[in-house]
Amino acid sequence: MLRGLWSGGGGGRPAGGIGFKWIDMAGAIFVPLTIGAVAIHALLRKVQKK
Amino acid sequence: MNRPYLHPPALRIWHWLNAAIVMALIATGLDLRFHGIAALAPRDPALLWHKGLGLALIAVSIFWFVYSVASGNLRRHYGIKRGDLRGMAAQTRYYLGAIFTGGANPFPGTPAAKFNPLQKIAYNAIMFILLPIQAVTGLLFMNIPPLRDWLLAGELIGLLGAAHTLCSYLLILYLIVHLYMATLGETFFAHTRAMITGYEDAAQPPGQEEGNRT
Repeated sequence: MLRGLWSGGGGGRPAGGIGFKWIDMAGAIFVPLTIGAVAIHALLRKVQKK
Repeated sequence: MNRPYLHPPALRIWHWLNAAIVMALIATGLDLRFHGIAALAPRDPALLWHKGLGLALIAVSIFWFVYSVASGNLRRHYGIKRGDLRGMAAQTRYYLGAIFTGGANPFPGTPAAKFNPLQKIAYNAIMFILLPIQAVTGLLFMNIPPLRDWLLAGELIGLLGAAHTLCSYLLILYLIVHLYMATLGETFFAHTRAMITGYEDAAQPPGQEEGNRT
């Protein structure tokens, strides 16, 4: 039953095909936003410590 | 300095193994995402590595679950308790305010309760919602003959891909915050060192400072 487990993976539509582009768009927005938020938090901690 | 013992060896090994696998999964997953999985050769190294690492993550997660149930780790540290909702508000206030003015963490990690209420919610969501979705969608992506045919016939591959990708982004967001939170211990590396040695460098509880012991 598991023959071919390691071969293929494609064969259908690409992951997140038509109609799912919003996921990549959301990722492109939220990943930098989260990095920015933790950077600002870290900066504020540093400034307050001084 | 107070040094509670928080992390037994099995959980420390699991943590670092898990971390290495997750980082490699993100790297190979992004590679697959940017190139488009349908355009890749069936034996593309990134694809094979991603599958192998995915199976490894399932294996270590099963180990974590079995160990955590058997040792009481799950019940003791992950169980949501009455008062945790109020605790979540207190912990949020600490992260958004008191942490800047040197205020005390309302839930410092102790051997009896390692995680604050926000951590409990986050870790439960990761281990019992996001990772299982990743595991199931990832397994369904593999060429398991009858499943594969049903998924293609039902045109469910796109939906699976969307769920897998969405959860991947949520895991990446969690990882960014987790890595930052790991620096919020008594010193920059206190939490990281604790995950290596098992012992956390923590502030002395109030009333037990050096020279104040009676």
